[in-house]
Formats: sequence, structure tokens, C-alpha cells
Amino acid sequence: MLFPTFTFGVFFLFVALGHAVVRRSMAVWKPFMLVASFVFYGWFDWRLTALLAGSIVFNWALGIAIDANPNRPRDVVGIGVGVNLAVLAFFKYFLFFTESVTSLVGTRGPAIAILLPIGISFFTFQGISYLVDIHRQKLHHHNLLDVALYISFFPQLVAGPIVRATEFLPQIERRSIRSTVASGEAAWMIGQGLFKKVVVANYLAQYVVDPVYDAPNRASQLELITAFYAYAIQIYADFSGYTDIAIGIALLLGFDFPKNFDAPYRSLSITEFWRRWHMTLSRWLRDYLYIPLGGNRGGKLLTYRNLFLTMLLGGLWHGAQWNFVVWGAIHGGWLMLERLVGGFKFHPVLRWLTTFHVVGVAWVLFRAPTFEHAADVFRGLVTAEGGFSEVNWVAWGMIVAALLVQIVPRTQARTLLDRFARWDPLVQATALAGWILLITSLSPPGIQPFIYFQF
Amino acid sequence: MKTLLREPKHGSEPPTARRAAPDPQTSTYRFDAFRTFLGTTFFLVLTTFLTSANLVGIAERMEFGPERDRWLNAALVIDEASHTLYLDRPGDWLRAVVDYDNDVDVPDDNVILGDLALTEIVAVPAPDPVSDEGSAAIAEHDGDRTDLPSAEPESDPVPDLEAEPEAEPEPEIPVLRDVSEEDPLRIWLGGDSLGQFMAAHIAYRIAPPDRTAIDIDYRISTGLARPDYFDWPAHMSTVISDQEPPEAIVYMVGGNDDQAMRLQSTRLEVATPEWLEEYRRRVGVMMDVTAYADTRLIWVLLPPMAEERRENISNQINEIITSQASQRSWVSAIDLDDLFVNDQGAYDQFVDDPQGEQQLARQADGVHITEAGSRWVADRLWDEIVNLWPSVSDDPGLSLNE
Repeated sequence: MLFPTFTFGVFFLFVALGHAVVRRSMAVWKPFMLVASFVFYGWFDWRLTALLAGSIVFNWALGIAIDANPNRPRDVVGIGVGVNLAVLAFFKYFLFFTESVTSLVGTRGPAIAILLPIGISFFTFQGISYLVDIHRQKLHHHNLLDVALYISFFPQLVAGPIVRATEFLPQIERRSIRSTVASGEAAWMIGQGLFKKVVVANYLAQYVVDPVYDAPNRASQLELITAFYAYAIQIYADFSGYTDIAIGIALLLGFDFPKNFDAPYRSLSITEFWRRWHMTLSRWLRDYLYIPLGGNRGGKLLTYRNLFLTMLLGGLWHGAQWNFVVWGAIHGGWLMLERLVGGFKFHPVLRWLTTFHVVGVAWVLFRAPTFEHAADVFRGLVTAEGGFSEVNWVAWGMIVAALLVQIVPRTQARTLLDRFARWDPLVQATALAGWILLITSLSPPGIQPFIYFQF
Repeated sequence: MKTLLREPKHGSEPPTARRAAPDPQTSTYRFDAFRTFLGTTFFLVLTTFLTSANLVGIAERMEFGPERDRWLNAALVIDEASHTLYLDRPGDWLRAVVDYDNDVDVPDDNVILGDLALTEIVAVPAPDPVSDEGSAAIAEHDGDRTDLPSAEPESDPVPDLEAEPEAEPEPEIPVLRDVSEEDPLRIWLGGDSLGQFMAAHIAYRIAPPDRTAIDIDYRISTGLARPDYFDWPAHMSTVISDQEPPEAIVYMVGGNDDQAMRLQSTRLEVATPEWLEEYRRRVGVMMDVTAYADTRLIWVLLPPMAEERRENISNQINEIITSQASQRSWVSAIDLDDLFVNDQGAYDQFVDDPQGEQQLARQADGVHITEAGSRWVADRLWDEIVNLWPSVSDDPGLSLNE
């Protein structure tokens, strides 16, 4: 079920009630929350719960096997990571391979209907994190219930943030869920996330981005320019909106999740951008891919190679399409360039403009269905005809506001949040309900699927 | 008992790096968990009342049946209570200020296909078909409409379905004009999600941008079975009464229509004779809404379906569309069956394309068409458009992809 729906509201009412009743006893709370998480996931398609259960049991068993041997054998963790990735690859890339083989060999491939399990990338990454952290002796193996809860905890199950085992498991090792809740922060995050997703991302997708990317050769120059900036804001609002809600819901249940976005469009370099964008994926790639590849320990050339490969694979993680690979290559290439020149030294405004537009160019490749579409967008940005008379002021208002919010100092927002957080929860609830009313009234009809659900 | 605690961020909870430095986005104020639960519950209840109109809308869009009735009754009670407590007023006011496509929302349960629901479908006298030679029927467009079948379509593009057919004047043969860069062909592509890729493909890869003006208008999860969710004839009547109405209407629905329908207060179970008769009527109404001078409706039939139940219903829907189209000269029904069956003539996810290459033609759900499959559909539809307006293409009779 999707967060911004009535169904989820009803679901969460029952979860909150059960949580309030049983939170003092972890022995009861854990099975309760596990059942709730499976109901949440099974709502998409009940058959998927078998895969989730399989992933849990497999990682739990491998965790025991790795921990049992004081030498932490590499081959066992290798098998664990390999099987996790193989399952992920099967579901994400099977059709890609089938089509490729079919076109190469010219024979009929197996016509199997593959259902892409929602959130498979996210829970697979968490499973790998659990195994590798045991291997690195940062963690001991846990019982099945704890592992199940870590992998399936519903607020982060389908689109992150990617929580490390060392962050989550200590929070359920206590004798009870803690007795206080940062309700103001939770309400703030939920309200902010819903606004980003339901109003900003939905509007920009329906009225600006989708029509242009369907047929970029028919768009005017102004429409293309608007779509160029609008998509940068749409994908940010869509993805960070989802994780804001996830973090807020986790807070209401007494859990701290790591931050996933930190005003990425204020970055002055691509290196900084990746410290602020999808932060939990960045650090996952760093810890479980870049460092195992050798990190920066093998000299400059190897460091460049590792950086580039990490970003390339990060791109491929989004799907078996060449445009994602090129997207990763642009980021990897620019990271290499920044490292090569030791960071650009020109005026901060120029650095900001450069960084934002490099990210924007890469987003065109990310969004365009084919390279041909992307080429038409780039060509049209420079040469397309059409006047500037029909400006979509709403879209431009959203774009400018979204950028300003990230660029201006956040002291004011912090003061406001502090003041809000001091209000009684009933007052906070009233304010949030009013905010939701505003959001539902401002939102375009229908709910667009979350972009990151497909990954 | 109100408990306001101020905890240092580096307190009892170990994990995240954000504890290391104060974060401007976080707050340190915490409340007793039970009080927060009360707040959460209050929030959910208050939100339900404030947005009760949305709740009624959600219930109305559920599939007809006892479950929908229960939800709808509950939603109506909440909505009534919200109205009594004046809690629905802010929402009403905000919705009036922000107006998104309000023509598509017809929440009144008794409104079926707008006003047309109350009319009896009457066979519209068909104008003579366009000449087989195509170009032979094309004359210079003089800018005036030759209206079909109503005498005054500018004021009311929807035909008067209650009129006696014999009272209608014999309509004139429509003249399809030459298309030029100065006056491009106006094409409208719409329906449910089945045709989305196809529409984008026509707009992007096939139709020459200098000779076509394309409007893409797809509404996900819609069809003719649930006008309470989306009323296609009502929407189409607004499309067709535009100052520059589309000349080629390419329309594809039916994939979501394998469900019960409601006619006034009667529930019609899917695929029963009553259901089929009502569906036939709705298809006819939808076709008649497009009966307008120089406009051609190209109705795309449903492709074969993976599930037997869906396939049976799709076949019946296709038969209805084909038979209704045969009574109306401005409508053509485009059959896709041959594009999406294997050597044995059955549904297959992988089939050979017109060039003999095997392609993944259908998505995993057994209903939707992949991008590759949509290209073939787009080619077929474009051929039909070129057949009607040969001057729209550089190479009349051939799609650009061939």
C-alpha cells in the first residue's frame, strides 16, 4: 500500500494502536510489528511475501554460519552476497537478458511472466549489509525474529532509506520500545514529505515532465527548458518526499532512521552532491562496493577506476538500461575529474551552477525512455522553436521555491520546527490535519507511482 | 498526564552519525508515547472528517458490490457528520479555488454517462462511407463544418438521440480535407492505460510534427463501466466542442471494464445479457458523441488477454464495438488480434513482429502492451489515419516505420 492513501491511514491507525498497547514488551512487540510489516508488503501482492520470507531466512542462516567461524570465512559471506545479488539480478534483469539472448540467437526465449517484487533492491541491500557487517565483526548474528524485523520493517521496506543492521538492531535489543517520541519532528517530516510528493512531484510530472518526454520533438524550447528543471525538482520531491514520510512514521514508532537527503541542490560539486543525495545508498555503495574494490588504497589510477565503476554499477542498479549506465558514467566521470583537478576553484556561484547543470544533464538521460528522446531534448533545448509567451508560472514557482528552500540558510526553518515541536501532540495533530487538507486540495487528481518503487 | 522531555541528542540511543553534530532539521523535543498515540489517532480522525469528500470518492470508485456499499455507507455517514460539524467547509472552499479538471469528476451515483444515460440509443443514419480510393473523396476544405447528424452542432455537438431517425435530414457526405503545414491534422489520442505507449509512439516517431497537432489524453483505470469514476462520453463532449475539435480520434478502452455496472439503482453483473446490452448502449453513446463533421473515430479493439476470463469478456466487448462501429460510417474498429497471437493463434507474451522477429509484446500482467508491441499498434493506426488523410504522410499508404 502507498503511504499517501486512505488504506495506509487505516492500516497505520491499527498499527499505532497495537504499538501503544504492546510496546512495553519486546517479546510481543516484535511479532506484532513483523505481522504488520508483512501485511503492508503483501498488500501489493501477497505472493511477494514468500520472496521476502525467503530472503529473511537465508540471510539469518548465513549470518549464523559466518558468525560461527571465528575466522569469518570469505567464501561463506561471498556465497551470501552472491545469492542475494543473483536473486536481485534474476528479478530485475531477467527480461533484459531474455530479450538480448533472443535477439542474438534468434530463438524463442522462455516466456515467463516475471513480476518485479517491489522494494527488492532495498531489502536485498539490507540483507547484504547484515552479512557483511557480521563478517567485518561489527555485529554478531541475531535471532530469526530480529533479522526478520530488520529486513521487513514496513516504514523503510519498499523505498528506503537503506538502514544498516548496526543502526537498526540496537534499537530492538532494548527491553522495550522507548517511552518518548519526537512527535513534532515526526509530524514535520510526514507533512513535508506529503507536500513534496502529492503536490510538487505529482504536478510537475503530470503537467510538465511527462508530456514533454513523451514526444520531445513536439515541445517548444520553453517547454523543454521548463521540463529540464522540473524533472530535477520532481525526482527530488518524489524520492525525498517518500523517505521523509518513512522517517516520520519510524519516529512515531520510536525509531531513528538515518537521513537520506540533505538539500542536495545546494551542492557546489558532484562529490558534495553525493554526500547529500540518497545518502544511504551512497554510503552503502561506498562501504560495500567502493571499499571492497580497493577504495583509494591502490594509487590514483585505481582510485579513479573504483570511483567510476562504483557509479557505473550504481547506475545499473536502477535498471538494465543503457541510459542508467550513461547516467552513472556521467557522475563517475565528473567525480574523477573533480578528484583529478583537486576540486574546481572558481566562484561559488559558478560552481553551484555547474554542479546543478551537470546533475540536470544526467537527469535527462535518466528520465528519457531512449537515447533518441534524450538527444531530442538536448537538441531542442538549444534549437527548438516556439515562443516564450505561455509560461507555466505554477511550475516555475515550484522550481524556484524548491531551489530557494535548499539554498537559503535553514535557521528560520529550524526555529519554526523547534517551536512546532514544543506544541502538545494534539495541537501538532490538528496542524498536520489542516496541512493534509491543504495538500489534498492542491494536489492534481490521481497519485503518480513513486519513481523509486520501480528500482 | 503531559510529559515533555528534553533529551540530549547523544543520549540513550546509539546509532546514527547525525547525533555527532546538531542537525538543523531535527528537533529534540519528545513526548510520552501514549500521548503521541492519542495525537496520532486524533490526527487520523480529524483528517478523515476534513477530507470526507475524498473518502466518499474513494468508496465510490470501488468495484460495485456489497463491500463497496458498506464502505460507501460508512463514508457517507462520516461526510454527513463532517457537514453537520462544518468540517467539510474548508475543503469545499479550497477545492473551489483550486480547479483541476473538474469536468472529469462525476460523483453523483445516479449520473451514468451524464445526461446521455437517460436517452435511448437510436441508430444514427450513416453517411455514405468515404470512397475506397481515399484521395478521390478528398476535396479542398472550405473551413465550414458539415455536421453529422445534428443540424446545429456548434451549439450542441452531441446528437439528439431521442429524435426519430427518419426525421433526420440525410447527412451530407463528409469531405476530408488536405493536410498542410499551415493547417495540420488535429489528432486526439486517448483512452485507458493500454494505449499510452502507442500514443507516445505515434506522437514521437510516426506522425510528422509539421503536419499533425497531437493531443494525448489518457486516463488510467478508466473505461465505460464506471462513469462514476470517469465519464468518457461527458469528457469527450467537452473535447469535441473545443473551438478546434480533433479530426482523428483514436480511442482505446475496455481493459478495465470486466466488472459489474450500475444502471440507476440496478446492479448488472459482468457479462450477463443485461450487462452486455448496457455496455452496447454505452459504446454507442460514446461513438455518437464523436459524430461531428470531418471527425473520424478510430476505436482500437482489445488485444488477446492471458487470462481466460478476461479473454472471454474482451471478446464480447470487441464484438459489441465492432457491431456498433458497423452502424456508423465515421467509426472504424481496428482489430489487433493478429498482432498478438502466436503460431497457434493463442495469446503469448512473446510473439513475432511483422518482420518475423520475436519480441516481448505483452507485459507480465497479461493485459498491457509493451513498448515493442505498442509500435505495431501505432503503425496500424497510422496506416488507418493515412488512409483517411493521405496528405498527412510523405508516403501515403505506408507508415513511416515501414
